[in-house]
Amino acid sequence: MRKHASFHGRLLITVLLLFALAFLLPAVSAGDTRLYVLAAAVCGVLLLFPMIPGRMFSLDSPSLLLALILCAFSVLVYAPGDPDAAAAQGLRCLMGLLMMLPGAVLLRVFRPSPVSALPVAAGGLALLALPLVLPSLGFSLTEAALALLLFSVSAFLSVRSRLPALVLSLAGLAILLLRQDLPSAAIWGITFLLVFWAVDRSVLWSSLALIAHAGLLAAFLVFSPFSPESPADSSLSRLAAMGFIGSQTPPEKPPVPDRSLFLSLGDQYGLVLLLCLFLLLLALLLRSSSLAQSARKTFHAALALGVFLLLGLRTALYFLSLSGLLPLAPGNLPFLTDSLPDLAGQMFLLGFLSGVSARNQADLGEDSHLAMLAR
Amino acid sequence: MPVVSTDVYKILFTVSRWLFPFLAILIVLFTFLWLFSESLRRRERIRNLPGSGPVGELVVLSGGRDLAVNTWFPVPREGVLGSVRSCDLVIPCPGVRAAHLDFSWQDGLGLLLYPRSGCEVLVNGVPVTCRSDPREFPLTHGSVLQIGSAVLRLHLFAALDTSPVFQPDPAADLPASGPIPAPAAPVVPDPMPMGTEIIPPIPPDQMSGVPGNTFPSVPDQMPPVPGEVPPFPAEPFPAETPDPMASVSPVTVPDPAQSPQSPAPSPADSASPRRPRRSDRWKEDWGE
Repeated sequence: MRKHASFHGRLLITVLLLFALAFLLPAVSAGDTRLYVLAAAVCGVLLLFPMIPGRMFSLDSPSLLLALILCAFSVLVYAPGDPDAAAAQGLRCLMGLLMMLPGAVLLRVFRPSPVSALPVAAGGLALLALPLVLPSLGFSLTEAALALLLFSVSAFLSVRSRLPALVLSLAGLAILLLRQDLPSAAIWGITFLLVFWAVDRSVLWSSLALIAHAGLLAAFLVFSPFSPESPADSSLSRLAAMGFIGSQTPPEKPPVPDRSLFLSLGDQYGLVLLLCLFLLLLALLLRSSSLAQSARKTFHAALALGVFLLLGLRTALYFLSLSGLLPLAPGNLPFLTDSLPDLAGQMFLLGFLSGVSARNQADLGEDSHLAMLAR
Repeated sequence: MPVVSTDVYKILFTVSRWLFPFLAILIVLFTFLWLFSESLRRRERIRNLPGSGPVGELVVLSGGRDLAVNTWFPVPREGVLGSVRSCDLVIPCPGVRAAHLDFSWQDGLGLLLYPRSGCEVLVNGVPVTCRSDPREFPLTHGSVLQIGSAVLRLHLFAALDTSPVFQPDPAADLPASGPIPAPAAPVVPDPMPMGTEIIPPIPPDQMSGVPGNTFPSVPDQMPPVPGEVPPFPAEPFPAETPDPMASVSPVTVPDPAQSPQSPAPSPADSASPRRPRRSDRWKEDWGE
């Protein structure tokens, strides 16, 4: 217990030290008040968010702290060049973090049944179809919609309603294909098939689901051929130009990040930091898989497994696109994005993980109680 | 706000190029150590709680050549029972399909079975299929499950909330008024007076003859009886409280040969070696 607390404490102190120094360095160079405020705000959120809302809502501490670290890096990348953009990104991250709370609460109050899963499924499909209905909409709520779809699919599967789960997944896939969002469609399809197999374990039903999903995808590709993109060359050349620890001399002009926050961080701080970011994401995925393994109810296990797959596949897709193995434009890594809807959806997924973690703790507490009664 | 000179800034910048990756590596290191220590802590806690997670165990009464008698399988709260290794409960016997049935524990009721299409099991000798209502045939402590060529008995862990013996019939059992009649099953008073004789737990080798629904109940395990609560008796309570232990009768274990629902174990059953470690620990706990 003491060791556990000491590692948490050391991690928190190191994180605070890193971000305080990283924000103060451009601040003392430019004498910009906004950067001083930003340094204080980021460190304050890193310290207080796990203590106040985290404890009030029993959020999962490792997942929360890892998400906070990744968000803080996404703010840091803007700080030297554009303090206003950094402040805006900080606000986006804070609003995204607040989405963890409804996720965690929803998981605790929800009792899986076909009737209760239906409204969640309808909400997920509606969010997914929003860009089709309103083409002028400037943003997409794909991540949040997939989170809701995963939630309802897990609920259906946990009460042995295979057919509604399969129909729901196919509907989601069809909408994603109609939106020409092939990466998200692939991620959703693989996630559903693996969760379906893990919960149902029926060869017949799993084969049926695989054939249905593959058939839908093939039909879409026949009618709307896929045109590969090749933007990976520039990403690879950017990676090759980065030093291990970034530039040794201060740049003449403060760097302004582009859409890829991960690569912009690499430009500023080098490949070692990128490797560390990747390992932090890996730690988050390990945490979600560990929560899925220790969950006792099928619903919680399926949900945690789905979160692991959604985040893991998104990460894998990014790196495969970045390395040129997939002919797709690399989007953004989970939690290292400037899109508020994506960030909110990913935090919503983390809220589910927090709910599963709290449920696991409650189960262990119940075991202690039962052991006490048995004695 | 303080502004440093260009030369000082250059020095700070150069130092920071080395310091930031070092701190980032430390963050990664502490993160993995934290996750690892938390995993160890959880494992330690589970080790200190024998039987944590499962609701009980299925003990093999007979399983042919494929399954040794007295083999036991921990039963999780929910999952799939089948013959392949990906199942939560693997019964590798002839007649057991790859995914034979789903099961889930329900507090107060027992282990509910949901056989898959075309699969059948016998619960205490009664056939259960996918068309049966699982709530009518829950597995409770001592229930016998026959699946394929395997016959298994469910042993629930202590303190789980089931009430296998109580089958409420308000019209027959409860009078419209007057005092509540003494229960037919033996009653263990709470708190137990000092010096009274403690009923020993049934050893597993004697439980083979006990059919599923014959275990004695204790009052706090009884479910609420539907219907009206009978009024208190009009006359005051007697001055002398009867000895609560007077109504306690020793648990009688019926002859296994006369048990209609549970199959009699083979002679090898009683002479079988000691059961594995975790069950022993639970048994010791219950005995205490």
